[in-house]
Amino acid sequence: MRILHTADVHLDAAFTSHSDALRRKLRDASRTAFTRLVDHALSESVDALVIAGDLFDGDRLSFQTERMLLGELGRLTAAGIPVVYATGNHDPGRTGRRAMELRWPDGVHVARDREPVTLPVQNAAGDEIGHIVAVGHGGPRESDDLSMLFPTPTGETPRVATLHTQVNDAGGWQEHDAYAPSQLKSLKTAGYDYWALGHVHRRQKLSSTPSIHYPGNLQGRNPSESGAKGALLADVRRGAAAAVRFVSLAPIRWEDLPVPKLREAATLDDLVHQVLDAWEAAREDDGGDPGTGWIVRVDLRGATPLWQELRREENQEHLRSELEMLLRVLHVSLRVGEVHRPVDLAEHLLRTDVLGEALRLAQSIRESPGRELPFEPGELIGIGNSDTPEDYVRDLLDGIEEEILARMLEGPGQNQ
Amino acid sequence: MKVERVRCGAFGSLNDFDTGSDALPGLVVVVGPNEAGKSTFFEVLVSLLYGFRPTSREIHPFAPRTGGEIDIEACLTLDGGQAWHVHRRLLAAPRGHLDRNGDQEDLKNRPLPAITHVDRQVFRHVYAITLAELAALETETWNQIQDRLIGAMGARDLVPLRKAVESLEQDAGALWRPTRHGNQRIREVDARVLENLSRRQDALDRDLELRRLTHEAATATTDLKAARERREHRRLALENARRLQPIRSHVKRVQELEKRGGPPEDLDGLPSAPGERLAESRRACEELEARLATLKQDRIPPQALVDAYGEVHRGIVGMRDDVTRVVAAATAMEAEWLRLGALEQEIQDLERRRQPLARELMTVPASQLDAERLRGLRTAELRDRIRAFGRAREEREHLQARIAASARSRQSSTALAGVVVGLVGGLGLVAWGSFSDQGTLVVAGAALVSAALGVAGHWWWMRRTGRRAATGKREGGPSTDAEHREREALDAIQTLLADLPMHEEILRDPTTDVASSLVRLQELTGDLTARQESIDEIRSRMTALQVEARELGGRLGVVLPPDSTGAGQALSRALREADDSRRDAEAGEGELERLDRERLRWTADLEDARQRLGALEGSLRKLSGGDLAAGLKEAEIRIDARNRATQAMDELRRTHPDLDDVLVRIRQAEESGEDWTLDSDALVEAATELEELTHRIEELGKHLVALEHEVADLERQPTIDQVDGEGVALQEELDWLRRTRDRKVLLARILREADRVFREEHQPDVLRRAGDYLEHITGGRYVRLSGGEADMGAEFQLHGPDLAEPMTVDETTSTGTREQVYLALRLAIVDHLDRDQERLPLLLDEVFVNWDEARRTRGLDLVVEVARTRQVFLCTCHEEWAAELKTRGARLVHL
Repeated sequence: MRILHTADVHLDAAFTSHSDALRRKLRDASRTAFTRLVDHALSESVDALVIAGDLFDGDRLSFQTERMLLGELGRLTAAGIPVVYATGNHDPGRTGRRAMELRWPDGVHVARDREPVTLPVQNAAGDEIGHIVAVGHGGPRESDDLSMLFPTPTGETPRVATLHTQVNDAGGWQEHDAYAPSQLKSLKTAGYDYWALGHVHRRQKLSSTPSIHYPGNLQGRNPSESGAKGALLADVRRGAAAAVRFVSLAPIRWEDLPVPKLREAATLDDLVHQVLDAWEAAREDDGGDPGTGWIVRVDLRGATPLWQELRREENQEHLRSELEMLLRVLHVSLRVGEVHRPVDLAEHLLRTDVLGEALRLAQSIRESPGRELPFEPGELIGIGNSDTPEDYVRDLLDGIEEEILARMLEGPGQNQ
Repeated sequence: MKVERVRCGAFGSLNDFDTGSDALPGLVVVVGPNEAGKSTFFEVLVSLLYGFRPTSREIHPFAPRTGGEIDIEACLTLDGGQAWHVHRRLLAAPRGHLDRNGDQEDLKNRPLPAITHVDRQVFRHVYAITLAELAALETETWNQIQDRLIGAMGARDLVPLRKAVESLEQDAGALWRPTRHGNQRIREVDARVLENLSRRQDALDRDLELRRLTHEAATATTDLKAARERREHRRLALENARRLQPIRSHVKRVQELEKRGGPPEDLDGLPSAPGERLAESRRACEELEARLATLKQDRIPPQALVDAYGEVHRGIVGMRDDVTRVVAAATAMEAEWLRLGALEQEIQDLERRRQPLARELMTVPASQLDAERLRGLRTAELRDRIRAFGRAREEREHLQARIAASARSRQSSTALAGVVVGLVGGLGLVAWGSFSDQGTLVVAGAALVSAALGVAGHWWWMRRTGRRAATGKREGGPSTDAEHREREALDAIQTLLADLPMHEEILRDPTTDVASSLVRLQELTGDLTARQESIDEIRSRMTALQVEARELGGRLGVVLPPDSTGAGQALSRALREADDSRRDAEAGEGELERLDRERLRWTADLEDARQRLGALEGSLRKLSGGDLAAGLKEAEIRIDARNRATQAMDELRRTHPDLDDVLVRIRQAEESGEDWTLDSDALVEAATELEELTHRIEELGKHLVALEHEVADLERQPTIDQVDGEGVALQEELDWLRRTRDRKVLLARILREADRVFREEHQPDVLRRAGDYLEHITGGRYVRLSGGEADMGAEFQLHGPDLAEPMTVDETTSTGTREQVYLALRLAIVDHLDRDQERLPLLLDEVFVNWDEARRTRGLDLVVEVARTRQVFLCTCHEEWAAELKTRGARLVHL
């Protein structure tokens, strides 16, 4: 039985950008990726398309996206390819309006809650070639292990289980809320030949036999979701490892580009060349599909002789636009803010003056959680963004010694 | 700590510099003009205490230009009395060595162990007080000075804390502050977030509107479709009434005529004019029957020709090759007859020529000669032998003649005399002729000489041969041998001719003529034999031809003459006759075939004509129940009806090119039971409704287009996710700005707190000590110094017994007083920094320049006093001060 496994499509996700054009491109990329997914399912003549949750990012599904989604799924079902869709925490089947209200085409089987939905899969001749079982999220904060609700499989044909779950021990699981947590061991012993999972956006294989896979999301949404994105084409066999192949579908890719030798860049031109070198090195290993649009974030942090230049917004914009032109990408963003001039912190920590006192005080506040703060936390207007005031202050203190030095030491740009 | 000796192998401008073996005292006055190296001397001290910075010789500012290493060393005495010796060098890497009372330590580039309580930067900035620094007091506010002296403990590399905090608070305030005054970026972004929320609601509304419009468009499309269908229905009804009805009536008339014409299949095979066709068919049958009768008579002549070609002719024609061959052979035989006669004539002629020759040579007549023996004679050999015989006989006869000539030699003297006369005479004639230029005489003379010489030659030859023959005869052999050879040659000839009956006289004296005659006889005999053989061959062929002709005649049944020529001619004639007969027969057969084909065709035509006539009559009878005449009339009526129907239809098609479509339309309308009978009122009503429907369709179309434009416009507007994306970006920016602002606030708070803590710890002691120094310098005018509170608002204030109120130190205070306050504070800071620890040397550079005499004296007193507990290096270019201080125990070091 051949299935195309996708998850975390997050249709109509809010792409973070001040550029309306870029947001529009990302929105279109998300739709294009879904269209490509359907094209691929048709060209590969799969026996079923499996969507393991978070098809929508939320209830804010636009009319255009809704029309596109139903049209694309209609293409599949018209070709006789069934769709099995298990709802996730972003698109819960009982409280999420979209999954509930849409008029799904015949042939789309939605698992809206804990009640397992079983689809016998047939070939063109009408012979049964396998079963797909799906369990969905009824609400947005499912906390139980839903994998325990799957029936024990029987029969000689391949069995596929579909679930939106947080498998403990999966790579990158810390980046996601622990909804419907499950244990890898219980998945392995459940008797299914292929677990089509969703929720963790990083593509990964948790087990070969039985085959347990996260396909990652269909289109990266932010710089942390870099790398090729798409779906998994799986030939599932009873009692054996599935033959799984990744299919790249996302038209836009994100790239987080660190510049490790920032200290050695004496001019902005040097910096541009360092970024170009870093970009070429990254593309040597992973050139991407032809026609891929790239959104690149250049991460500039640490000590640099250019710390003053890099803090100037006009320089940042100039650097950004030049890199955009040289890299030939859709967009380049610069993350600047943690840059400071090269200083020897240890030497200044010993000083018998107010500078040494300030450095030691900053260290003391950060490293002594119970220490009384030298100010009222209410003065900090962003303190509500953290769990505790101490966490917030500690976060603010990250790298503050360099800024103290930048502020206190005489030299060019002391007032920056 | 006291530096007792400093030695520089190489350090900037100080080369081979040495303060001397005598220990330096507490007060050292470094004397020299400006740029003599006082700053370099201070760097030497810093490097000795703290190590080299930078650590690479290549970039060290005081590295010798000659390329050598930096080499400095010093003898030190610590406050506890320990004697240290430190030696540092910098070449490729810094090296340091410390001798602590005999304990050796590898310092590398580390500071001396006893001075770690004072940071290198602090020592550099605090323990050196320079004239330039004092000059800067004019340009700085005393708030800044206070910050530097109290907060920074005099360090010159720090931004005044007050300034740093103000900058931070200003930056933070630009982002957000509690009041709404001025531009605040966070509040701006907050406003944009609110605005975006409004845009989000707009997007939601648009989405709902989009859905509503799409639904409305779908409804409008349905209504439009229904209206179009209704309009079409009404349009058809009108069309039926106005346009289709006349056509339909016309078609009805056509249908009636077609009905009168009856089923078309009844008229199948009937011509358009059956009466005429009936008469024509009958005439055609009669004509064909007459032609067939004529044809029968036409067959008789060619049939006779065919019959005349009998068996004999067929046999001759069948054996045409044999007959032709025999005729050709007989014709050729006529030439052979002529040749036979010629050959016989040639034989007679040859015989006539051979007989006399045979008689001449042979003893028998020619007819009895054996031709084979004659042909076997080797005539060439015979000719050679006869010639050999001739030569043998001549030789014999010659020898016999010479023998006879020797007898005649005696008669030769006379001949010789004649020769002499001839010669003399000839020569004389030549000479005379030449002399007298008479050619005739010369020629005659020459001829006479030639004749005389010829006679002389003959005479000489005759004389010689005569002698030899005579010698041979005398010897008795040669003549006999010649005879013997002659006899042998003759025998050889006779041997060759032995088989032939030759005459005896010829055999005894054969000559070459005999050989020639024999050759001729041999040739004639050969020719005769050949011709006789030819005659025999011809006659043999004639006989064979006659036999073959007789046999052929027998086979053909033709009587032939006995001779071959006659037989050939007879056969040739018979063959011609047979060929003529055959050709006639073939022509007859061709004619018969043609006549038969015509007969068949006409017979078939007749049959067809009869069938057509029968069929026509049958069809006509069928139309009337068997009566031919009545059937003919009925047929003509029906055909006329159909013709008129066709003409009517053709006219309809001409006037209505789209007739087929119209007919389809009429059929559909009839099948659907549409109304064909609208009266005038109904027509008007239908036309009115049609107009209304058309108007409604137009309106609906416009409405639909408007809806589609509206939908397209809405679809171009940002969707909820796009607005949310902007919202998230704004929120992220807001979070980042808040964090940035909070970080600046936090940093400002930390700096304030650090300043407060530092001041609490250090300021009282510093101010107290500074007050003591200031009282000493000012001679008791100012006895205390206060200010520099933690709130950073207060400035330094002076207190004195003569002052009713504290006096603020600021820009209005005199330069000298400000410098004295500054010096007092710096000395107090230095005391504070190494309080209860190793006291480090102090460097003062021209600090008394702006002081009045009294205060400078007290200042110098103070320096002397300070030098009792802390080594002081006082740099000056004023020799008089140096001299004065020398008197008070100072050591002068000249640069």
